Amino acid sequence: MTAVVIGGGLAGVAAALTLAERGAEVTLVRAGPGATALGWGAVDVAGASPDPGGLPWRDPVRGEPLSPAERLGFLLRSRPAHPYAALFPEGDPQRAVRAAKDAAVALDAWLRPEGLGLGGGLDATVLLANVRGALRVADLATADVAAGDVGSAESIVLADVPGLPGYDPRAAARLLAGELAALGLPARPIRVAPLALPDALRAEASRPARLAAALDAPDAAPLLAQAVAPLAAREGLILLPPVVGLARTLPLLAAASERAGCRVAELLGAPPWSPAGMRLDRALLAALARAGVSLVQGRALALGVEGDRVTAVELERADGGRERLAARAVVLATGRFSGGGLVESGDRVRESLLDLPVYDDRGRRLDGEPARRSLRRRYADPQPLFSGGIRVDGRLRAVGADGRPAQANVLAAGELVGGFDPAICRTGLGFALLSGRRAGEEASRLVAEAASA
Amino acid sequence: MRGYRGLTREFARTGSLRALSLQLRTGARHWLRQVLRREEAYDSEARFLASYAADGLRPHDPERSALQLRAQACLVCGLCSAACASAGGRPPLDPREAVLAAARLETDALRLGLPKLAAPCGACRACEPACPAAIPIARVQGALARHGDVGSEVQ
Amino acid sequence: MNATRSFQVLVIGGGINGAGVARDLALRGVRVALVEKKDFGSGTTWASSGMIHGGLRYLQQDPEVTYHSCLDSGAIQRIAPQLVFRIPFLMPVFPEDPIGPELMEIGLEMYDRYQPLKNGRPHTRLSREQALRLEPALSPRIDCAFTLDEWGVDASRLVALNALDAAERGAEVHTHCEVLSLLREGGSGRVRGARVRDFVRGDELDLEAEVTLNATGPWAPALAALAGVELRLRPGKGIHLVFERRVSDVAIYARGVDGRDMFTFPHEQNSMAGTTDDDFYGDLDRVDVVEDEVRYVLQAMERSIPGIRRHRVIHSIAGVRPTLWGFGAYEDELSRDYEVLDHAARDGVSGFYSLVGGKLAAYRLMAEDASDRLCAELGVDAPCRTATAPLPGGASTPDVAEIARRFGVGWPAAVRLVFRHGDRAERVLAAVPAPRTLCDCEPLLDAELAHVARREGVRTLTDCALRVRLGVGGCQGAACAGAAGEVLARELGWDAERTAAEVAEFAAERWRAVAPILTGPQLPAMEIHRAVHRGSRPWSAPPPGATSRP
Repeated sequence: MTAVVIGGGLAGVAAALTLAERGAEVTLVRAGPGATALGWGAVDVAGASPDPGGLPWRDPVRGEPLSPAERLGFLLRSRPAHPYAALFPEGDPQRAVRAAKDAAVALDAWLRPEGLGLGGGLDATVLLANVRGALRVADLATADVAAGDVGSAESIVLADVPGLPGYDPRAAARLLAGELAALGLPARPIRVAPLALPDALRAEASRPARLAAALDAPDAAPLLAQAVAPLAAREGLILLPPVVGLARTLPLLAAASERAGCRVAELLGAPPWSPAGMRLDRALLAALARAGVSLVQGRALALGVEGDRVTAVELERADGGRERLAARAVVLATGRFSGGGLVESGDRVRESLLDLPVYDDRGRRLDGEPARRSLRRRYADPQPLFSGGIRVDGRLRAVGADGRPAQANVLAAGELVGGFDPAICRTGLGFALLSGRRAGEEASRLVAEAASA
Repeated sequence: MRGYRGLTREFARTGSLRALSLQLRTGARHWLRQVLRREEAYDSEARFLASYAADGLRPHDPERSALQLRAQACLVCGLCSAACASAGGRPPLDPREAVLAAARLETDALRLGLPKLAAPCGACRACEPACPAAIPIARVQGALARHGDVGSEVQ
Repeated sequence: MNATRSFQVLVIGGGINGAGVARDLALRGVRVALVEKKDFGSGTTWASSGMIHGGLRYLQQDPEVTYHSCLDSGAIQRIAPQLVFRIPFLMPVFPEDPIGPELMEIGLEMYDRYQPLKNGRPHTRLSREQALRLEPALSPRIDCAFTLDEWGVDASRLVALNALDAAERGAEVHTHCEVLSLLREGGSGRVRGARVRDFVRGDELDLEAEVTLNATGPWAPALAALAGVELRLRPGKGIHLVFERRVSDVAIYARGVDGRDMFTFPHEQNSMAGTTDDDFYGDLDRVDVVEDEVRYVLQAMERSIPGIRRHRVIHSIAGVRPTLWGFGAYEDELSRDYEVLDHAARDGVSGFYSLVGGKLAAYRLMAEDASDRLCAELGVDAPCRTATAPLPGGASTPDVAEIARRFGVGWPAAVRLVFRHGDRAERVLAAVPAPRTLCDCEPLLDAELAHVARREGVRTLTDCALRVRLGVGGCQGAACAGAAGEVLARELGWDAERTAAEVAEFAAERWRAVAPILTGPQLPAMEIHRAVHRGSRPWSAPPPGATSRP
């Protein structure tokens, strides 16, 4: 009676944990980290971006910031190709927001025991700054960065850690000021202040991974709090570079915040160093273990099909051995190119497990031909290739070329489902959460049906 | 005469008297050597390797080639470095640095005469499950220490 | 208000030839100005294979050319020892090759006589088994193989060093300056310099000179037209593919379907495959690689290295050679000779010369010849010293391990630094208090970026791709362009909007080079690259593609 989820990012884990909550037996197969682990911690359900083709965050007429429900409504109305249409066919933003809130509560419950959690709520949009000072619109964010909403801060302090690569707080402060102005928000004092870390910690700054790991040490919390305290300002926000531990981020931030008497949060990362995605990924895997979901480290190779159903998953484990899992229902959450859900082999783009048809956000098929056929040479142009993915029906079943489910018991969630460009639309993690949860619900129904049959 | 095919055509393309003279002289010497079967008392393969050893050229190593084909998939994401640091690792070369350094070690190390690494890393393999491209990073670290010469200072 | 400056010589074009002439003249004490419309070597030089070869093929036509090429290759090694690296070549011989192995070996034996001029090693002959043992990736169909010795150089760095040396010896060097018009005596008489526009500062400048040299490579006809002079070239486009890392430590010859010789060769920490040679009629300022060329090159490589398609191609390079005009010949067969054209004698326009044709390996000779002619007109009697005076950093090679330890940088970074800066490496590291790497692919230190911005005239982020190899690894700048932008912003006083525009422009340039070869293993990397650069674009920055440059 097993459901098998293929893919261990936010979508796959959300599906697996939802299945587990409903009492189904579930195994998750994961080859390795994907887009979730490479993300920045901001979970945007509604999507907004400065890029041409991205959705606005302010009302074009009234000029006020749009609420997540309004942004979601905008998206549902203006982007019919977006796979949210499969989740919310009536296009009702209120319903979508309620579903998102439920999913957020669930995700927070899964992450809390692992030392993370979800912050923000879907009632207000938060603005989060990254290490460069650029702003990201989000409705949810992992708790390590969620407290960093700059919109509601009366003053902002960027903590300087000399020697940290890729972080120039003075430049970030300048850009941040420009960002706030570009978004029509009132100016506020933004200053830079040095973080007086003890020498042993400061020496690690050139390798941020090591500095973050060093801050995980049990005695580091008071040291950090002590260093942060002098930066405090009333009603202010202290933003630290993304090195606040790898596993104990929340306790570290809490201690610092309490000692400083104001909000303390982490900046969103940017290459070359961005730990928030890694923390989320790690917490999700830990949540799987806690829920008793069996996790197989390996790569799914093929699905065994009998008639109109998939009955098995053939996989190669990380240690090289082969395995065959019997499956009552399968959830594909394999992502796109960086996750391995889409590949180009033999000069043809294909979905890697079932050869499902792949469509871009204009409805053009991408599979069967080389990736370069759909490339636009001008960088500024939209890139259909990167909006590509499979299609699903209203029950999140993967559909074939005729628009009907290829198999009765194969569902899909996350970025494997196409119709939007995550880089511009920015709903990647939001859709992963919502579709993963829904796929889990559907899959548990399928498993129950199969059991009673 | 198969070895001399194309002789007439190449001859006809000679551009100058000087070129012609050079070709005739060298050709005659070459032909004589062949005819008299003057065995060259050297192993050309060994000589080739020896003459380029100082430039970092090594005999082919199938394991290294196979590793390089895996290592080339690196996405420079840094998840491996995070996993390593998390596990308490402090190798002289971070996993990310190691995978990228593997591309250039052979080319620079011997040429610039760097001392050998004492120990590559603890080989705890915390990095490997963290890699989206499934690169066998611990093996790359091991190969670096075995085949390459890496600086011994720790940053 | 136009500013005006006066010189003895104005060199237009900052490629290897223009920079070489500027250096030569500066060393002779001539007051010279050099203008370049983008950055050094960004026209043809950067796209070359970087091979300072001896010209094996000329042995058949004219051994004089081979002699001089080998001599000059030796000179380049002497003046920039830190920039050159030896490349062993492997020439597989197939049963169907038109030239038999004995003939091939005779050719190589002839070449052996010239090798000592450039510190080259003699050829060796390998049996099929020996060759396959050395490089198992070779096709098993070969009859035998030969090895051959050549040298490679970082061409972009070579140009920059020539220009830098010229500047340090008194030349005035302007990058991102395009010639708008030539200054003429009385409107149509002797050429007396040029009016240029500085794209970064946005102002115009008059540079007056007694003699003006057109060293613009394939743009030579267009520039000559400004003086009403007709100049014909047969510009030949050539492309290279860049692999993520070394395919092999030896260079391997391959033959195209049309019989052309190409090779896959190690270049710094990558391998490159190329090149093509096709008459080019397009826009010189927008040369792009097309699919035909990529497939042609890979097809050729596959014959010598059957498994070549498993190797990840991360980048493509296209440039146009300024080949001398010749009618009726195939591109390959056109002369690689050069000419110094005196337009006074040829076209009745005095004060104006053009330097056309040539190849990278012969740049120093070309520059010497051109400088001799210019000095003759100026009445300057000074000997050429470019063959012996070391280029900046070339005086000695520092101890890499010691540098790495003293400055606390990783050794891979120290190695790269010494390669590019030689004995000036310490000076570079002193540019910032605590140098650290910005990018692991290269690896690139922020100190080097700060140094080139401060002391080597780097003015835009895109310049850095060629000057310090920013973003040349698999990530193509996803991991480093933002951080690098910040360093440059500090040095050059950019505001936030300008910084964001520079980063966007850099990302766009990388996209242009990656799009033609985007396939299989490079797709995940570019998916991430896009998420990083498009996905984190600041709200306050102009949209991608909206830059100030035409």
